[in-house]
Amino acid sequence: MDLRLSDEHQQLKELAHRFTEERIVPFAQQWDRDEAIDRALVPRLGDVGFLGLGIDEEYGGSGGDNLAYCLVLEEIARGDSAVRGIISVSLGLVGKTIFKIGTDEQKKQWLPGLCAGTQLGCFGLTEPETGSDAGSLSTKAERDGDDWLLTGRKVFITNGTWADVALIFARTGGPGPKGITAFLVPTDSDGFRATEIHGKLGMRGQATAELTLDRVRVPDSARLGDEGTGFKLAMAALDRGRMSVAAGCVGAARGALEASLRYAKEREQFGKPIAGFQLVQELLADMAVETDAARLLTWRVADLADRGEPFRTEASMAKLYASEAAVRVANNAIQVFGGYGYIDEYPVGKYLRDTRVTTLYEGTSQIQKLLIGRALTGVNAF
Amino acid sequence: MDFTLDEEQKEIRDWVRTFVRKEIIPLEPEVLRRERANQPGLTTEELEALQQKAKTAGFWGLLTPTEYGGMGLGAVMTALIEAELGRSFVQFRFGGYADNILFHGNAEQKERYLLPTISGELKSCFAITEPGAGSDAKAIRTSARKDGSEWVINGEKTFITGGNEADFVMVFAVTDKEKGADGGVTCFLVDRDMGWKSEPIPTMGQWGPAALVFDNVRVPEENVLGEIGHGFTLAMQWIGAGRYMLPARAIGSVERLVEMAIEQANTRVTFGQPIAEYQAIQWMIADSAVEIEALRWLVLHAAWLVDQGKDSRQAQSMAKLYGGVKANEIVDRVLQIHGGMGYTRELPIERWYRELRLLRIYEGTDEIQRRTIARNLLKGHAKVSGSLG
Repeated sequence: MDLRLSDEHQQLKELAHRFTEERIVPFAQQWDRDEAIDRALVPRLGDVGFLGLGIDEEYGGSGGDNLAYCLVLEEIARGDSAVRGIISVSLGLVGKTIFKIGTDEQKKQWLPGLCAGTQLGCFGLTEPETGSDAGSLSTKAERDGDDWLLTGRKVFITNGTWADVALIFARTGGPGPKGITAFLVPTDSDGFRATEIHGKLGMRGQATAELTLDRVRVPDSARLGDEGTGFKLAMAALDRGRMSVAAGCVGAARGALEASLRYAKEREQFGKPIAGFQLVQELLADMAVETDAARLLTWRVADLADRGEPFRTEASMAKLYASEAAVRVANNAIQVFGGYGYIDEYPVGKYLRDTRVTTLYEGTSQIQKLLIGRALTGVNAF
Repeated sequence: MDFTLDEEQKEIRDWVRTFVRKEIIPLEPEVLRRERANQPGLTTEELEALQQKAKTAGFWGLLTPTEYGGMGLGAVMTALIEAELGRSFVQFRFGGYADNILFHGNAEQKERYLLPTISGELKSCFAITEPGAGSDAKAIRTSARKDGSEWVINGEKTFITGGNEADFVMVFAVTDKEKGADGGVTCFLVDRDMGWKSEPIPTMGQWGPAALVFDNVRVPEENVLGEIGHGFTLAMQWIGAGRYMLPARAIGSVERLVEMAIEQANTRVTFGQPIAEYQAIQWMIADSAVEIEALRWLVLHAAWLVDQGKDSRQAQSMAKLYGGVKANEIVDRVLQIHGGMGYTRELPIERWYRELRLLRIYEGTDEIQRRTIARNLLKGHAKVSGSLG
């Protein structure tokens, strides 16, 4: 057992820290108000290699292991979870799935652009009627000669209006998870429409969209993986995705804690800094314990993944714990800030709004508990 | 970064696991019966016989340096072993242990106190807490007055673990009222036959501490441990050294409890199906498993820092706090899953329920841990996750 970071990991972490301080922290509040980050940031993320982590250099990637990925996401999320989410989806869910499953041709077609940040990807699984029960999705893909015609609706799709490629899960066979196939759909295809969803509670800097596919034609070469393997492929992507959400939650929790520590030392009431009051210290201490515990659970998943060991249940544990912890930590941070925490002049309200979605997406906390419960008891309570 | 155990660590852990399964767990029904008849769960002879059995396999003095015949194991290994021992509520510990501060004694004190403690001939106890000084240990009032070549100790100590059984006590007394804890507290090694008295304190768990009374107890000056006035530092060293061991032991306890809950959930049938089929039951199990995993890594992280010779105080306080809070939540859920049966004395759950409550109180209450953690952060002694990465 050795919980030290290697020099290489340490340097990457510092690079991500500097990048976040210079290019994200000063703008996060404005992006949140604008409901959009400055999209010029995306190619900058590509320049430093953050959009190519875990992908081979021959496809434009920057290599590195799962721990490296977690370190970068923690730093970025400390600055702005919306930016972290753009990476988690474009690289984590889309790029890495293409890298693992795709043909050489598919990798060459999409990965260099995604890694460079000149293009973005989105992950189209959720539909208006199927959230947690994704295996029942109803978007259809029908054969038409050598091509496929895709028809259906997707909702809550991160990067939806900005993406160049959409990884769409559609039904090609019978009902249930085994009838689903994955396709790489260029978003400029005829019949593909993305409409931005406004008024989100948090993660406002990223574009979340509803996608409508109306007989969108793609060649069979756009099929990712074998027919009927789409659901399995989506679940494998989400296993890794859960690690990345957990890493982001650690960063957001850390940001909220750091802000609270600064504020508690400055803010005076009854003639002394509020840091001197035990009830404030309780909030801070609990935040620190939960943040460290969440990080250890997350890094353990990365370590398992980097060793090629199974990590599915551990990823569920890390995601469940880190997301719930991040919401509690951010909520505590607002309590430390008092009324100032409730207005967006200060950063902590945004941490709460941004982290709130992490207990919902990529598997709600309830779904994680069912997955973990099933792994422990052998009984499926879905 | 490496979260794995090496082969040696696994081998030692597995040996202890087997020992607990074969030698300790079978004693549980009898131990439970005796405890409920207000008798000790294990007699001293039985405990020593078990310790000897372990010794023949080399398990003796886990933390004791090899030059004293111990194993000289690191903190990570010790934490892993404690977790295995925690799987049973039987109060077993390996022999060959001595309090860390006894190693600070001079040659004669080592001969008279340290070596017999390691060998098991003498039993020690550590006495700082007083009726008026618990979390606020600096407020102790037990006094030691010099009279010729002797010290005369007066005062009361309370909640002293092992105080009824001990042959000698490491007692902390004020030798300079002006200086107080900051240079005015001294540690004395005091034999029972020098005249201190002990009285058992009944508790809601099996922990049976003692109240000690010192009424003009005369102690020869050569029985000062360490330097005069430096006692408080020794006391903190004693308390701080193994803080990770308490939550480490709790890991094993809650693992065993959750295993019992899983077994119960899979076999207990209500409304025509095993209760494991109900989401409400699965969630209690899932939440517990996640928290055990978080606790395991907080504890191992703290122990790892100890082995690295790094400042581990923050990490140890975090592990202790989290362990106390979560062990109590988990045993409560496990009792809930067992329903009425969990509340009865048919099962050991209620025993564990009572015992784990102590973890939130002794060796630093939850509140003291939180105060330590927050202060370290606010004063910059610890960075936010500074010890990680």
